[in-house]
This record gives sequence, structure tokens and C-alpha cells, in this order.
Amino acid sequence: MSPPLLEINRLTKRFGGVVALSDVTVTVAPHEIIGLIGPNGAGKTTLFNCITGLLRPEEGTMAFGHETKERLVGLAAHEIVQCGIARTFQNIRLFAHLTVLEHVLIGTYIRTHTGLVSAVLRTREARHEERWARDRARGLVEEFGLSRWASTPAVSLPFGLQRRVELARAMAVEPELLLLDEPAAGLNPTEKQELLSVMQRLRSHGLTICVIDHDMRFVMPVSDRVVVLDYGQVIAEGPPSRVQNDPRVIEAYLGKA
Amino acid sequence: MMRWGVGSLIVACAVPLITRSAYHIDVLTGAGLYALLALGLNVVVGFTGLLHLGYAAFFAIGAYTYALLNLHVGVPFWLGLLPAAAMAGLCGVLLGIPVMRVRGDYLAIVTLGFGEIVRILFTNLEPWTGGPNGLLGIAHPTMWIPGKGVVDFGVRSVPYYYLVVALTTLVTVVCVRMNRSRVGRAWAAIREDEVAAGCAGINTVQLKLLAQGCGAAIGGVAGAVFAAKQGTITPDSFDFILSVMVLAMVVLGGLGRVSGAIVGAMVLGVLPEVLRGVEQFRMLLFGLVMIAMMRLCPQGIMGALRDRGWFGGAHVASAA
Repeated sequence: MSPPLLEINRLTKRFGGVVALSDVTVTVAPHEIIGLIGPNGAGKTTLFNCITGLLRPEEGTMAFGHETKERLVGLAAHEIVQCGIARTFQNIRLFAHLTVLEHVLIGTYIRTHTGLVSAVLRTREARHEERWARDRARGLVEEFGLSRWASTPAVSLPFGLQRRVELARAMAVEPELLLLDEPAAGLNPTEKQELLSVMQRLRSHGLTICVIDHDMRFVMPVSDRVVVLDYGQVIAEGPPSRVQNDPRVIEAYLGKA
Repeated sequence: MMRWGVGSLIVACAVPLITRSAYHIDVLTGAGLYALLALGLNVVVGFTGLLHLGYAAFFAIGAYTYALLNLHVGVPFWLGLLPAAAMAGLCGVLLGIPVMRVRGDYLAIVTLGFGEIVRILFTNLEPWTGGPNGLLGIAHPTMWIPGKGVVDFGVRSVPYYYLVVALTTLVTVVCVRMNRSRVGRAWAAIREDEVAAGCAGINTVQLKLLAQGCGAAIGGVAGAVFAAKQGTITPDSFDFILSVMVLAMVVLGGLGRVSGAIVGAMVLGVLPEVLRGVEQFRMLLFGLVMIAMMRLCPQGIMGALRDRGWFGGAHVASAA
């Protein structure tokens, strides 16, 4: 097995007296799809928030990268994006008033470098880069089937399409690792199927994906490995078929018999 | 939108040919200065969504910077514009650092305090600023005109009018280009959702400081023009009411719209003069107009016009 892309080691996050994550150790291998599951309040989103720099864990380390390992703890959110980690949110976070295309253009921010002065002077480089960014954004808008709505305000779209806008924005940063926080929530069965095939397509292009869901049935078919969180602890880990029948997992979901 | 911009510019340039009244020109020059201030504040409040209630401070810093450089070092107006902008911009960034962690209402209170502190400082630093009496004898701009040699702007109205029109045009172009660039989009992202902006890779701290610096620098330019035009500046020209007035212009015109800032400044800059005939009811009418506007089109004049399909397209986000 190739060396891990993301190594989370003994991560602990407390909110006052509540231990949201306790001693969580997870590794993610390149090109893997990992399902992160667990009942509500298990700490799945908290783990994502720690990885993406929105929360700072009290203890533990996180290292990311192939040869040179970036230590993620203590980095700001935008620095973590620069390392190559992008995410979506459980409660979709879109920019009100901005169009679909503008959302994706904002995703290209870290792949472009035009400063304010060159933008105001419209230098040749600035115009060239702006054209590149627009082409790239249009390409992604098309790839995610959003061309018809490119100049529509994203928040006015139906829920399923909003999820796709978020995904396209995250992909515009060209991440190596994509964190999806309950991407299937609120989607109908057809949309869920589409999402699964999108994830598989992205993985086949070399992306590593970590996907949260509390519905085991959604993540099982697509995941190479499943990590189960309960009360902030990893209670099971392994291939979907094995985790599904793990007595501790069944207990966490259904309670003791 | 471009057509409307060029059209407005042509009309603006033709105004002194239509009216010979120095009073009319002066009122419009004042409105033009307001437009500069509104354009600058719009970068901070409209583009980036940072509520600022002490913007008059940057106007004051620009004015005093040029005045002091002129009086002590003899720096001419054109050369003084740059340090006035730089000083105000620097103060904008410096103020931005401590307020980085506060948002919304809290940011409004801190910036309000900043505005007052600057005004009070200029009032009390008497040895340098002349205290409440202010600074006198600031040089007017001069310009070389073929056949006439170097001409002093003096106390004539028309030269200042054209100066303000030229600067407003320049700043408008700068603002439109900033807004349409990747930085402008990043500002919009911060305005709409700072967490999501950070998670899209935007350095929110750096970009908020940049917005505050740019906005303040534009205020500084307006300040230098004001000082050069008046020849005299006193701290009470830069009070809280001015900050509120400029904010009202930005909101009235349409938050985040470059054209809105100008339209708002024209309306609120000229309206008090139009209402001079009904002197006693002036402020009352002024207030009623504001309330009516906010009730009828809360997205501002330009926002409302756009939603009705004027000026190209019903929905253009972060539009110019």
C-alpha cells in the first residue's frame, strides 16, 4: 500500500466539557474513497472542521502530502486549501447574489495570481489570466452540468443543483483531497446515483475523497474503506462489508439488543 | 453600462457650458467630492461588506497630509495627492488590523470611535494642526496651460469642477476594474460568507486589509482635493455626520454598485441645495426621502433600476 496522503494522529477536540473528538487516528491513502459514518453528533463534521482549519484541535497532529508532509494543525483555512484540501459543507454555504459561474471563478482564486494593480491596469498577463480562469470555470460549470444556469444566482437554484455548485467550486481549487460533508443529504434517489458516479469519476482522475454520511447505505457501495465514529471515537474501520456487520457499529446505530 | 458611463461623463463635462452660475458649479463640485468619498467607502462597505462608520477620518487624514506637506515643505497639490492617498491608505490598513476580529455592529462601533478619535486628535494637536482654528493658506492647485503659462486655480469654480470630474472618472474606472477582477470576486465572497471564502482558499485577513487600504486611500485623495480647494481646513469639516452622509449615499445608490455610489452622491449632494427654498422643512423632507427610498427600494436606486431591466440585464451580481 502506498504511503498515506493524510495522517490524522490522536486528534482530540473539546468544547468546554464536551469531548467532540477523542484520540481519533485515521489515515487516508491516495486515490481512496473513504466513508466517514456515524450517528448524529458523533463528531464527523467536527473532524472535517479540524482538518480544514475552522477548528483548532487541543491535541494530536495531522500531516498531509506525498513526499513533503505539511503539518496542518495551526494553519489557517486558506493555507490548508493551498496544501490541496477542499471541502463542501453540510448546510450548503453559497455566496448569496453571486452567479454559478462566479462561484466557480472564486474557486480558481488560488490558481491565479493577478494583483490589484495589474488588474486595474489590465496588463497583458492580467487579461490572459482572467481569460484562463473564465475558460476553466466554464469548463467546470459544464462538467458538472450547470451550463444552463451559469449566470443564474446560485442560491435561487433547487437544492440538488446548489450541491453541484458547491462541488464545482471545490473542484476549481484543484484539490488532491476532497472532503464532502453529507453531500447526499436532501437529494432524491436519482441525484444520489448521479453523485456516486461523479465521485467515482473524480477518483478515477486521481482525486482522493473523504465523504461523510450518516446513511450507511449511501456510502457503502462507493467506499473503499469506512471509518465509523461514535461519541468522538473511532469504533470501527475497514472495508464496508466487514464494518456493516461489526457488532459495535450495529449497536451504535440501533442500540443494544 | 459603459454607454451610460460615457454619456454621463459627456454631460458632466458640458455642465459649465450650460450654466454660468458659480453657485451651481460649486454645488456640483461638492457632490463630486461626495462621489469620490462614496466610491471609496463602497469598496469597504459595498464590495467587502465591512460596515464602516468613521470614513470621514480618511478624508481628514488626506486633507491634513496635503495641507501639512504644503505648508511646511511646499509640496504642490499634484505631488501631494500621492502622500495624501498613501497616508490615508496606511491608516486604513492600520485600523484594519485591530478590528479584524469584529464584524457587523461591533465593527461599526469601533470604526465610529476611530472617526471621532481622529477628529479630536486634529482638534487637540494644536502645535501641528492649528487646533480648532485649523490650517490656513493651503496652496491651490496650479496647472500649465499652453499660451497662458502656469495658472493658479485660485477661488474660481470651474477648474475645481473639472478636477473633480476627472478624478471621479479615474476612480470609477479603477473601482469597476477592481470589482471585476479576481480580487473583487474574493471581496464579494468575503462579504457573502467569510467561512466559505476561507475554505475556497481566500486569505480573508489579507483581502480585508487590502479593501480597507484601498477605500481609505480614495478618501485621502478626496481630502487633498478638498484642502486645496478650500485653502483652509478645520477639524469640524470631518465630523460623524459626514461619515453617516457618505454611508447613506452608498446605501441609497445601491450597496456594492459603483454606479450606485455616484448616483447616491449626486442625489444626496444636490438635494439639500434644491430644498433650500423650503429652508425650515429641509431636513424633514430629506429624512422623508430617505425613509421612502428604503421602504420602496431597499436595494438602492441602481439596484431597483437594474431589477427592472434597465442598464443591461436584470441580474448581474456585484455589478458595476
